[in-house]
Amino acid sequence: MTGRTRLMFVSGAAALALLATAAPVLVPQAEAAITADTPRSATQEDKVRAAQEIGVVASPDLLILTDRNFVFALWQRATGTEVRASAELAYAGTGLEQTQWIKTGIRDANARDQARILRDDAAARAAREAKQRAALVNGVVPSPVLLIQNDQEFAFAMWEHASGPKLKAAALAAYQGGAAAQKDFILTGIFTARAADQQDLIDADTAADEAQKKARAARDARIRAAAVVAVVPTEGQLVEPDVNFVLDLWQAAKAGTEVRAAAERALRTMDEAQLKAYVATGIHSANLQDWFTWIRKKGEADRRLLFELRTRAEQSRVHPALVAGANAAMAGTDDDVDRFLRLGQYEDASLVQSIRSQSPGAAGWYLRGLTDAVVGAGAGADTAWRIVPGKADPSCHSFESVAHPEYYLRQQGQRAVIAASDGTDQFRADATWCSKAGLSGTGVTLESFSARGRFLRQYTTQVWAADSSGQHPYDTSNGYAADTSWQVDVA
Amino acid sequence: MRALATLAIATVAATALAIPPAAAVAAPLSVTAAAEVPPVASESEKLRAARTLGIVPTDAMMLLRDKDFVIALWRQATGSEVRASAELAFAGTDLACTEWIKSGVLSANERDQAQQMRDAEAARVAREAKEAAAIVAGIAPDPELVVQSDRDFIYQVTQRATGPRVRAAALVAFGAAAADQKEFIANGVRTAHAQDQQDAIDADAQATEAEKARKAAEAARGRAVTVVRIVPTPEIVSLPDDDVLRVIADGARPGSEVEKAAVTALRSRVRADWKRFVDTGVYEANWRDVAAVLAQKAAADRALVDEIRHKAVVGGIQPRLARAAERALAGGVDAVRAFLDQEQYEVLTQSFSRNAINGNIAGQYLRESADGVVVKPGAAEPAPGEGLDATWRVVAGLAGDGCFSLESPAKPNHYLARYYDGKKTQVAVQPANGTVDFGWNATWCVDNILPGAGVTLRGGADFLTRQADGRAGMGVEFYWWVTEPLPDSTEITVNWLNKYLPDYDPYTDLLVSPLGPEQVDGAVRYRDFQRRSAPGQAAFRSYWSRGGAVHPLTTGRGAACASPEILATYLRLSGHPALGVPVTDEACTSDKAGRFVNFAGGGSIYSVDRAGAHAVLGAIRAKWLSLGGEKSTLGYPTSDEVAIPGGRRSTFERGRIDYDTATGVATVYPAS
Repeated sequence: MTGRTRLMFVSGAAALALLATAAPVLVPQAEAAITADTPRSATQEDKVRAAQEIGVVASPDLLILTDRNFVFALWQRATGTEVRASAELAYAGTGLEQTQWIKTGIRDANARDQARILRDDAAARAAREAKQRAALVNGVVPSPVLLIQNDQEFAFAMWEHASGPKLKAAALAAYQGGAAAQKDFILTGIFTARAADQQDLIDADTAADEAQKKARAARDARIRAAAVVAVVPTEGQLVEPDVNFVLDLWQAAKAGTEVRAAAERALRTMDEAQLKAYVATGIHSANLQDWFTWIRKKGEADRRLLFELRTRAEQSRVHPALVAGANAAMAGTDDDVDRFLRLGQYEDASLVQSIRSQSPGAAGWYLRGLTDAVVGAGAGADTAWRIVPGKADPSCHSFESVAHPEYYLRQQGQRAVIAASDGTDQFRADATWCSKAGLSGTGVTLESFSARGRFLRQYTTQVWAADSSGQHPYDTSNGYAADTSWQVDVA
Repeated sequence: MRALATLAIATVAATALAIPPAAAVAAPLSVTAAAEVPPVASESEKLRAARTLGIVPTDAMMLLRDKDFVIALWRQATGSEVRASAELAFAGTDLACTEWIKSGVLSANERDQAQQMRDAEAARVAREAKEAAAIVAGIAPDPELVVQSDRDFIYQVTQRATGPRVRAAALVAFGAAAADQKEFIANGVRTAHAQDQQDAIDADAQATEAEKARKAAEAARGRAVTVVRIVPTPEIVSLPDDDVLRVIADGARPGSEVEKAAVTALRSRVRADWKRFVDTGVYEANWRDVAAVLAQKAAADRALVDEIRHKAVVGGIQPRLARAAERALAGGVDAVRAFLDQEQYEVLTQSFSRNAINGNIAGQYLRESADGVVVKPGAAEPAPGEGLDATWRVVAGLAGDGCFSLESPAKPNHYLARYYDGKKTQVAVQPANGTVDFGWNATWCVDNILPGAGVTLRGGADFLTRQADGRAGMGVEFYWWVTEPLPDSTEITVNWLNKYLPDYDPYTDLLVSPLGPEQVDGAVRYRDFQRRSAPGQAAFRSYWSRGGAVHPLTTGRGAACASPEILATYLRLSGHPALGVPVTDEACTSDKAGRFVNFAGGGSIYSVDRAGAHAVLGAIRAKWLSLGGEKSTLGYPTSDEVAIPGGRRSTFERGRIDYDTATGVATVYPAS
């Protein structure tokens, strides 16, 4: 995105934050007019299906939106926890993530909502809440739209509405810095900058005596502490005894957080100094600790997801590249794991494979073609297949021609051809193949989803959905096992 | 000199003649007449006399006769001496007048001047005293004031002074004698003023105290109302204490200690009670409120722990979790928190053992081997770390709560799962793939819990079972003991389990349980055990050596044929390195008076009350046994074997046996 777009977008979002209802229309238009679609953005059909998934009618004004704005539009309309959470994560992510969300993410999330499984909710909430705290400490009442911005946009918004010069400088530095700097700014930088700004103001006030300055500093500290638990303290809360204020913080803090546990510990000491220390610094370090705990837990959960993904990829027998990518990510850092889950698993490097026959007469020849599927020797662009979740059943597979995007390997009258979708369920079933162990004992055999019992077979270099009944010439039992066994390799 | 002499004469004359003036008149005339000097004053003398008095003589005056000239000067003169002397002169003769003009006026004027100077000095002193007094009294010392007489000045002081004591003293002085008035002006006013000042200071001090007290009270009220989150505005802090109490009672959470205490304090008619509430009572009540909330939280935490404990007990396969929860509940707030935060996740591992209902087959654990999941014992001499393959993390069922999944601790994300191999349902440790199917296949439910027998683990319609070939599989109901994780299957462990597991309930301590880990010394292994009735105290030590059986040596006097401890003697004699491991259990001697144990090294320890516990070794032992052992005339050993020159010796109740190293012969010496 260009700088100009960015600016327009954020001001749009900010405007929305103020004018609540106007937001839906303004924001997408601002961006839609300027940003071109990324390559391989979601198709109209993807968008229609995505909208259908959550019971939204995909009106023309929705369908012309860019992927990002389409995600935003669905986020506004969605009610499911996981759908909304995953939309937030995609929206704050890259274009590829938004496209992927429209293509598959929303469906998975909706399935999780139906099954009452929570996965993205925690991550989305953690991101939202960190921003909420940061906005509150900056004296900005956070709107829902502000909270789902990515970290950089958020830093920009904080720069725009900075409550003091040091905070403004810190926001600018974060905006110009990397992802880590932005995260750091939201988690701690904005708090320390705000504290410094407030201290400057106190120091600059020559009229006040020491006691007044101290009182004011304590008051500021309370406001900052309350921001951690997303509370704007009342005047009464600012003057009440420390023990009561800590009790308020404790009650506002979420169960299971260190912020809450530390508050309880401070309360149990019944020691004024401990209570003061909690308000001044303890709550902030506890908050940071909570963040790290959350990061660690997310890392563990991510690794588990990746482990399961790899297991599925292994069991599918058609995803050696995905397995290799997952293994590489698992050997890396938590960030690598996270990136692979968000992006890597959808990239061509993970999905594109070649499919080679193991049939004695055509051993090592590639499944290929532009109209009819054939088996032929030698490399070529048409030998590359993007293996995506089955159009009719996500636990099976569909094979998209890399040379001919949006064209899929389907059986049509038992003949395997390469065709574009006609939008029918029949096409989706015909373009879906389920994998099982190779009948010859090695490799993989692909069963047609629409013609169960018939397996993808090379027969005289033609490719069919065949059985061994002998009903048709290609159904001959002769060499059937070898003809239906394929080797999936890296393209 | 001359002038003085003249003056003296004139004075004498004047005084001498002053009383009878008429008589004196004639004499000077005669003197004058008799004198050679001109009888009248010259013009220059008149001029000097006039000037002496500061008078510019007119021409007419200069023409006057001496007497008239004196009178003219007298009229204008002010000095008292001058006038008096002039009066004397003009009442006297012409000569006296002439003399007065010539010199008398001069000396009289000098006297006047001297007098004037004296008067001026006194006046200055008086003026300055008044100035000082005025300043002291806080009155502006303007010229009119300070030249007033003492009395008038004092009057002014009474009117214009600000200090009450100064005014009072002035009033007293006003009516007093002149000396007292002077004294007042000189000192009294100062004293009075100092008293005024002291009064002011005292008064001021009193005022400051009051102000301070007021401010302190306001601050206290301000602090007190903040307890109920009311901002201490000036209006509120200036309220009387009882109104502040009402403010607090209104602002307090209904039912809170603060509210109750405020209402209670209000009922009191004693102001001090109100103040005490504002000063301290409100905070004490507040702390009670906080403590109540914390107590509630602690109770809620305990309830959580109790729920976990309950679920763990009812669930049947998480005895460690149940026990940890019990321990936490027995502990304080911190133990409860620690359990919730951390510990509950650390006690999830258990092992599953084939139960021993049908014989001594304990020690066979559900474990993952290279050969799949089997139910087999581990090695008699396990390698370090063995037992992890027979340990499982018991977690909530992947297919939902209420049942469980068993995760491999060695391979995270791998679970004990069922699969269909095309012929029948098998059991294996498989990686999770996140699908619903896998979750279901990896979920096990506990249907039956029989103390002593164990639990059943149902997966789907069938039960986890041990198949005839020792592999785990699915079949009819099969009971498992849930045991401690990281199990070993050493002979000592199996011996122990076979003996004590038949009463096994994983949720209560066994009758006998290990006290510390098993010790390894080459081929010898031993382990201490404790009884449930005396935890932490070794009850016996089991020994095992490769190729042998397990034999315990008990602590204390033993159950049957009670006698001194054999284990202590064994250890005193350096234990298994010296004597070898026990090869028999402790047995009663033939007369049932004591016990004995034989050791692998060819020795024995005999224990009886009257002789103690002693080892008999080698050839001496052989000789002794050949005579009938404890039944022989020698009786029980009364010492361990000791070295003697050229051999070794054991003493017995009735004699001794000496062993000659050179000949290899053991000789009996009965007691004579």
